[in-house]
Amino acid sequence: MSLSIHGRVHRGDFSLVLSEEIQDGEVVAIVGPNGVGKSTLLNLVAGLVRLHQGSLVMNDATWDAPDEDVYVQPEDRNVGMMFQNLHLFPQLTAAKNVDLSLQARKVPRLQREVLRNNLLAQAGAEHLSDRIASQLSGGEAQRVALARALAGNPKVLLLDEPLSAIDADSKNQLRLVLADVLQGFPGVALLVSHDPADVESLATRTITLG
Amino acid sequence: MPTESLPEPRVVRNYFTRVDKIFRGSVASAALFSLVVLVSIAGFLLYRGFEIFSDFGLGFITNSKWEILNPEDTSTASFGIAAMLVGSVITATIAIVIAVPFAMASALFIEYYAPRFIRTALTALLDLVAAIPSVIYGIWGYVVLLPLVEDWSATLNKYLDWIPLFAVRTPIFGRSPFLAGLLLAIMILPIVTSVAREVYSQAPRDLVDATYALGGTKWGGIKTVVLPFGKSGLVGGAMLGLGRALGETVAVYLVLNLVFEVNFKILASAGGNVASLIATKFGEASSYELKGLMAAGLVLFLVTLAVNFMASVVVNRSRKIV
Repeated sequence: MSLSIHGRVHRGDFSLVLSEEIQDGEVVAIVGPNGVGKSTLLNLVAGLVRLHQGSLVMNDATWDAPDEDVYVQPEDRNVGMMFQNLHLFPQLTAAKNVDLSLQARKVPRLQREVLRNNLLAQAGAEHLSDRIASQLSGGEAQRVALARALAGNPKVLLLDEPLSAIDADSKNQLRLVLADVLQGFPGVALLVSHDPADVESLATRTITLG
Repeated sequence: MPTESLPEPRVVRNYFTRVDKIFRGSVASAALFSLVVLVSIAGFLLYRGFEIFSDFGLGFITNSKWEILNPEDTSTASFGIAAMLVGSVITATIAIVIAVPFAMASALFIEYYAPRFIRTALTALLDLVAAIPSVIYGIWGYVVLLPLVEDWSATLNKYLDWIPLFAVRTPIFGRSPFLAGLLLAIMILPIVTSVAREVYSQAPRDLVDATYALGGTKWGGIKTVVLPFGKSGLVGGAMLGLGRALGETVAVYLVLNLVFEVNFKILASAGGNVASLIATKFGEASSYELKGLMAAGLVLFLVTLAVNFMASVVVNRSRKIV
């Protein structure tokens, strides 16, 4: 079981050429200078950016292959994504933010409550359940975003700078949580980070772009 | 470091330069001009209608009779706009209730579902429809819509006459508040849709993408991100439409049977509207009746201001929530 990306992405003048195979259970750090296409790679896997040429295949299912006119919509890919700017829905509570992924996958209400509470607990955010997302601190929001990314039991976990813009204490705590989550994650995990300490402690392999 | 080529540091001043003063004066004058116009209209209406308020007091708002038996004798006059005021509110409310859901659906379709060429065509069409003069709407409403609405009204009355709103004393469904409200809904649809579309187009794309990446569908993205984001803008658009609906004159004049009696039965061929009252009576009014019409105009003006004020409160509140 693996994620296979071979192809090219264009965004304006920017072009990203990729040829990677990532196995289940691997936590791959994507590193490189700013603007080299790290977030684009995550967006490509999520389906928010499309390949210009080549193919993106997950476990024998083609997600994107422009030459064959195949493109699987983001909502049908079963990925969990933690965005660089988190993108929590500001008007909803932490619990509702996590619920959205579960609702999208038609998880029944009672089961949803249990799953949501477990996920928030796993991310160390169970006490934030009823807080409105716009009122969370940076570290708290990151925990909720992690719980939300894990909801829906994704096959691919995409983490875009998951430990950026928080104070050192929160960062260390969240790094431990993340390490715990990634250790037991059965699918493919891609991690974008500028911090060598994150790469060192969380990733099993590194891909350098640019 | 080659410092010779760097420009001199900017001089920081704590006073306005002449150019600043001229610009500040120009923009301040432009902003004040609207206020001056607003105050002078209110002042003019109050000045011309003051005698009516002092003669009739609160009765001018609470009574519905509008007659003057002898134009030379002011004691034979009885002026009240309750029926017209209630009629204005009812027709405008019907218009908003019908127009807003259609406007939301149209705006979402144009912005999120329509292919590009249809989007461009529909946007241009909306602007075109918004420019149609209201007299054309009125004539179209009278000729085309009236017969259709008579049938619809008869059906509504047949099945829903147990609701007081849809009951009638006599089964005559012609020029009713329902017809006027429906026509007003069609008239305000372009402006409400246009505002809604503009607001929805500014919804944060990143957040919509986030819903997709978390397994949400397009509708999920719209429900979670676009609708909450656009709520305050939509209320603003609806209030713009409400303002137009409350003040619409010619179209309502053509499709509504003015009756000086408070009527909450929207299918009955009897209703009112302050602006239509003014249009109907203005041409043949005596000087005293003219003062009555000015007073009616002032009340309409104040109601519209109050609606707009409430709208801005709602908009501000929902902005805070979002």
